[in-house]
Amino acid sequence: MLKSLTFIYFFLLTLSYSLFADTGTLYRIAKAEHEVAYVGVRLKTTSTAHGALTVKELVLHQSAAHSYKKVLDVVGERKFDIPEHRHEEQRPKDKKERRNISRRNRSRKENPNGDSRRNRSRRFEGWRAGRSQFSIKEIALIVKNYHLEVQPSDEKIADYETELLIITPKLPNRPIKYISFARENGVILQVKDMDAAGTLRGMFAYTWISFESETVKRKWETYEKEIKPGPPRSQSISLDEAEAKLKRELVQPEYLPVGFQLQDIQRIKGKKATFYLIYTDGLLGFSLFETATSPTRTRWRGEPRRGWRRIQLSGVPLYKHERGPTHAFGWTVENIDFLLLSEMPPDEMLKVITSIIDMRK
Amino acid sequence: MNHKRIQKELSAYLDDELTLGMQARIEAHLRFCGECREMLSAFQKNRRRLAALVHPAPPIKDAVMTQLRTQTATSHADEFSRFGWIAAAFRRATNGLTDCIKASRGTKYWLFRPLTASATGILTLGLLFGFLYLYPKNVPYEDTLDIYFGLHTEQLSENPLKSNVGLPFSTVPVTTMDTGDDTELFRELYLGN
Repeated sequence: MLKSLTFIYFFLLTLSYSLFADTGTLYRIAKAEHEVAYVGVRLKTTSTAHGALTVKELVLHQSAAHSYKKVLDVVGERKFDIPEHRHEEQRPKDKKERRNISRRNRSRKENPNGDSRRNRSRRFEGWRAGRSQFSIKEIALIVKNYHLEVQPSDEKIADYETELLIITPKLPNRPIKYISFARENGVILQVKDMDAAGTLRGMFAYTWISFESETVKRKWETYEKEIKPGPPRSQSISLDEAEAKLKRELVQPEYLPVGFQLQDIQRIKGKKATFYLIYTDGLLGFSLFETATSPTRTRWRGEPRRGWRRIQLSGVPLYKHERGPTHAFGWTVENIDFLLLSEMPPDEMLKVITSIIDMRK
Repeated sequence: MNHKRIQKELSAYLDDELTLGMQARIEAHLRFCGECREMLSAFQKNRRRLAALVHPAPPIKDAVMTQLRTQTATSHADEFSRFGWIAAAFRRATNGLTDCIKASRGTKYWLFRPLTASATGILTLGLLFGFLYLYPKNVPYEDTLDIYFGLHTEQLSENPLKSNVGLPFSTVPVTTMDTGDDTELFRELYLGN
């Protein structure tokens, strides 16, 4: 069954190459991710929730399902500034909180771009399993919502001839992506992420990569023993399964930004009643977390925590927070705690939230 | 009977501790012996004086202060010695235990009464579960949010076909929200709405 599905999948990919050259390129890239094994070292700069971070990463890729990464070194890091202005209610209330803030500020002054040893080890030590999906649904959404354009490129990356795939949005306020891939096999060698204004906000590029099976095998044997990625923190679950566990309907927003679709439902391990829904337009996405709660246990009540602000939306207290490019909104309706995380414009997020609140009231 | 024997028994005679025969013999002797009669009357006088004597008890304040001084001296001596704190702690613990035992003497059968015991058990469990259920759990707040942020970021940044790039900072329309926030905050703080 699985074999026949895979055959159909790649048959469709191959068929599409000849019909639509640029869409076919995207499928070719996806196919390479599933089929080509490689080992390489890359430099990666991302805008994370903590700030901008550049790391040197070792990648050991057998297939899309068996892809592992390990940070070798943190090349540079710039943390986001904490806003100076704070509301009255956000001022530290007691001696303990004032002491903690003073300690944190002192630490920031001494090591402005640094990370605490504990955080650093938690974030960067050990191997992580890649979670790339490259599913047909994902690719179909990119094709639907973005323009694809393949350009020849003179640039050599890690000594390999490359071609360039440019993904530009059909709709305003969506990101742009430049993917450079190896001409010989379609493996991605460099990715540049740009915001709607065309400003570079994140990228990775391989400095060394090998597709030779012997090299990959040798590296795999070297690191096989130490590759023990922890269990994933969440797992996919079908809508029916989620609703059976919850014993109620999973709340889904009635309003979705143009081009967005539900991509996946995940259940957080170790938390019986927390599910999250991943919506995407292909590139951009938002995550909606739902946790069963009670009036006394809900996190979204009372005074906002430090870094959060409270607003009212359709008569419901809504808590707002920003971490780097990510906006977070939390609220409670009918004993369900909601948390919406996204890099989308906040007004679009508010429309999503309003549709949920109005539906549940 | 000679005088010495009689005089030895005079005290017992006064206390009515002698046999009837002995008493009769002593009374017969006293009738004709002036010396022994004088001794008997001297005994009786002494007894009356002793009975009239009242021993003055020390004032209660003095007694308490004396006791305190003794205890303080002992505990100081313990604290200044190398392992004095252990001795002091032990003494306090034993004193506490003794007090508990003394206090529980009156109630030692109370817990064995089935009705009271079961009622106490049910009440205790009710309070415990009520506390556990109603107590607001705020401790893992930031940790949990970190997990949520991590999950969201992970599924974007680990996938080359995804993007965690938002709008350019300058075009993010956040100003529309701040007005509402302050108004609501003011209302809640000062008008109690």
